Amino acid sequence: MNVSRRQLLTGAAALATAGGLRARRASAQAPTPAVMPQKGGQIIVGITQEPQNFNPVMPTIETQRGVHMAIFDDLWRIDGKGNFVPNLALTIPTQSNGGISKDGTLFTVKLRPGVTWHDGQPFTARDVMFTWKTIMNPAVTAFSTVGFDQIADMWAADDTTLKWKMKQPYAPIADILADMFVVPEHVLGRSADINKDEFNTRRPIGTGPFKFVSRAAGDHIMLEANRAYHGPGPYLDRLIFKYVPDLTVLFTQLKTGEIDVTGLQGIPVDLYPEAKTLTSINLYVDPSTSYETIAPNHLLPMFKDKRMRQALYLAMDKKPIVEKIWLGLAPEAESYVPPQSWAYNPKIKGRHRYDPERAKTLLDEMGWKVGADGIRVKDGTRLSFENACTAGNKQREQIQQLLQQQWRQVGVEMKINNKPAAVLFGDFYRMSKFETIVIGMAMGSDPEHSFRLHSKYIPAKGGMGRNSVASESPEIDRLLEAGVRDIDREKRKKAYFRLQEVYADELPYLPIFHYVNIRGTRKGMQGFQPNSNMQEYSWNTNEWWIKKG
Amino acid sequence: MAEVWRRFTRNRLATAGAAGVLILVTLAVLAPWVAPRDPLYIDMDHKFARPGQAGFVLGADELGRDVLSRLLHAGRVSLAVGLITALIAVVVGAVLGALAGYYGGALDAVIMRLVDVLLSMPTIFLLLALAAFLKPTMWTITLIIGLNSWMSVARMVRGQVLSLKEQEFVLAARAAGAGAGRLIVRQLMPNAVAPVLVAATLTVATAILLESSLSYLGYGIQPPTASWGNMLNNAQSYVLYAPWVAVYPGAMISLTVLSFNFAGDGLRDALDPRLGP
Repeated sequence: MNVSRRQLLTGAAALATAGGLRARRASAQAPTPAVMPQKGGQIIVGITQEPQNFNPVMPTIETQRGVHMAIFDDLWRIDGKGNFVPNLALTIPTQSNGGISKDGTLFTVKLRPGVTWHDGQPFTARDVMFTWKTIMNPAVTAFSTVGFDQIADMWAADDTTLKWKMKQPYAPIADILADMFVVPEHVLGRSADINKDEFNTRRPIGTGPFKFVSRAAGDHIMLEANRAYHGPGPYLDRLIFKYVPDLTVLFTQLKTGEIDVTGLQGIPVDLYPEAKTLTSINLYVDPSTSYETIAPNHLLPMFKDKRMRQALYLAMDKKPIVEKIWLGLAPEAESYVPPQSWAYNPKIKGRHRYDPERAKTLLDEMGWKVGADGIRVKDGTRLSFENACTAGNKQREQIQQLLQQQWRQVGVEMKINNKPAAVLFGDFYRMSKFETIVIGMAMGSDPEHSFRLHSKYIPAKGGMGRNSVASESPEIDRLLEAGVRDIDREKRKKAYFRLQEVYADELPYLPIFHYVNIRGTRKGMQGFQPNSNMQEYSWNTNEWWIKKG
Repeated sequence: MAEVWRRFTRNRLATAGAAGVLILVTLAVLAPWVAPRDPLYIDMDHKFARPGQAGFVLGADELGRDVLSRLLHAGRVSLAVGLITALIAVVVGAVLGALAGYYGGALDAVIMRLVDVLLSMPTIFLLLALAAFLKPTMWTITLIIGLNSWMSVARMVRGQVLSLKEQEFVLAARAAGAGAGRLIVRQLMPNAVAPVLVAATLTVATAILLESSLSYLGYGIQPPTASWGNMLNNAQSYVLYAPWVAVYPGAMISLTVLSFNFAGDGLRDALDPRLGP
């Protein structure tokens, strides 16, 4: 039974998020429920960033999470329209069915009986409790503790009944749990060190629709169907994630049939005109909750002052990026909240102005004087910094070079030093060792964004999150906390509206545009559902099948 | 000398090669004055301008930059990488090869095992491992590729030295009191020059292509600086609908490689005393 978010957290009337997340399909391929899925075959998903860690509790990137979603299960997932879909939970808890207490803090979830791990052991509520405890364990490097730290305690009332108590009502908890994939207590509970266990790299064991078979480093990951899955599906025999670092090659492989699905980072926009003409693929163009941004490291003295960030933003001309590189498909971004979200503040639209003269004035005011070579200097330091992006991503490389030229005009020197994704998004980014980066980040299904913005979640300072720009703004912290305190959507909106105003002034990041996801699948593939509410489009691999003939 | 010159100029391919090298080097040196536009200037309004359109003689690339100007400036970078790499490879290789051949024994064993180890490592992995530690600039890339190319020169020189050091003219010089250094430099090396020159010309070609492979993996010459290698890599997405972005840098690499090879071959033939008049 699918439940909308409104039913889950009773409060004031909530606007459905459904409207903005409609998928616009370039070619009609709507599967009707009456069609019986055919069994057999394999699907190869091409991805441009290589998954290396198969433990969903540890720090991750989206393509890696895409693999986790096939091997592991969570309590529930969120579909493309914003509805919760039960996975390990039998039903979604609501106040009306008694799953959530009147004060909104005690949750009771009935779990599916008869679920087994890939090694045959029975799954119980204790495994879910263990997963949460592992995430909160300070000795474990967890992917995030945001939201999980709002749970006071979690316990198993019996094998199929899970209960937990929130410290106080916390609106995004259901969304956050949609990204918590359950790991086995009977395996990891005995591990000497979860951070280094071979479970992570060679022997992941989940309850999901596909079992891990093998990984050929630098090439592919092979999964096979879990015939004991609680269902629905899986219908495929095998699921393969193939690592193709270059986006152009990824598209070529889709055309030739070497891959069946383009995973992240999808079809590059400059190939979109060609993709539209192909009859051998289904093309999907959907608004995303991801946004492309420049991430300046606040630990560097020059970026600590918000006027510097404002000056760089004023000197950024977004028009050529949005219109010439992204062909007008991607809307400009003023903050992390995309236009289709219920939390989007319409007054923010158009707030960014391209004003290089104002940027120059601001820099002059700060004491940065233009030197002999055209680059500003202050106290012997040149206004020069490095920028890195994922090597092989042509759009990002073009954006970098454009910005380099734009910033040079106001006396700022940006040097390009690119790296492969696995290196860039390892410790280099996470532990704030960079100067600036071009990065895409997702808001996800809920406007709660402490993971990237709250000063509690700076990994270089011991936090378990991804505020790797080390932004420390008391006002932003306060508004983020206010946003989750109330489950009443109208009250939350107030906080997020104000947050967007503050964001536009403080500019912890310099957001450029909101992504659209351009993806392709081979004709004949069924069950594919674009979904920007989960981290990757491989959120429902159990429902994928191939129509033969 | 005159004999060598005569033999060289009679070889048509060699002369063509030498002329090619001369023209390329001249264009590279004069690039800042000959190039019609700023090779770095981005002009999104002229994205993918066709050759001849809006004053772009060879067209414009994905950021509206002039292909001709970038081609000329890239020549400086690529040729510099190629030539300096060859220089490093020749100097290091010749010195180590001569020492190994002349002294023999333990020194020879150590040097040759080092050569064996380095030759058995796949080039790209070695380069990537080094590139992960050193920041990719023109100089570090040249150094890395150069240090990866000296091995075959070393073997060649060692072979020559071994075969020559027992010959009469060497024994005579030694009897006359010449020390090791003098012997190596005055007697043995000049006779090893021919194969080394050919190796050097091949190294130039390999270096340019290796730099191009490094660019593909993100560790080559960093944007926005153009090298023929990274121009070619940038253009691979657009080969079907903006071929001029790929064709010209590719042609330049081919022309350069051919010129150096023909010139090198011709030089080797001209220097070889065993080929008839």
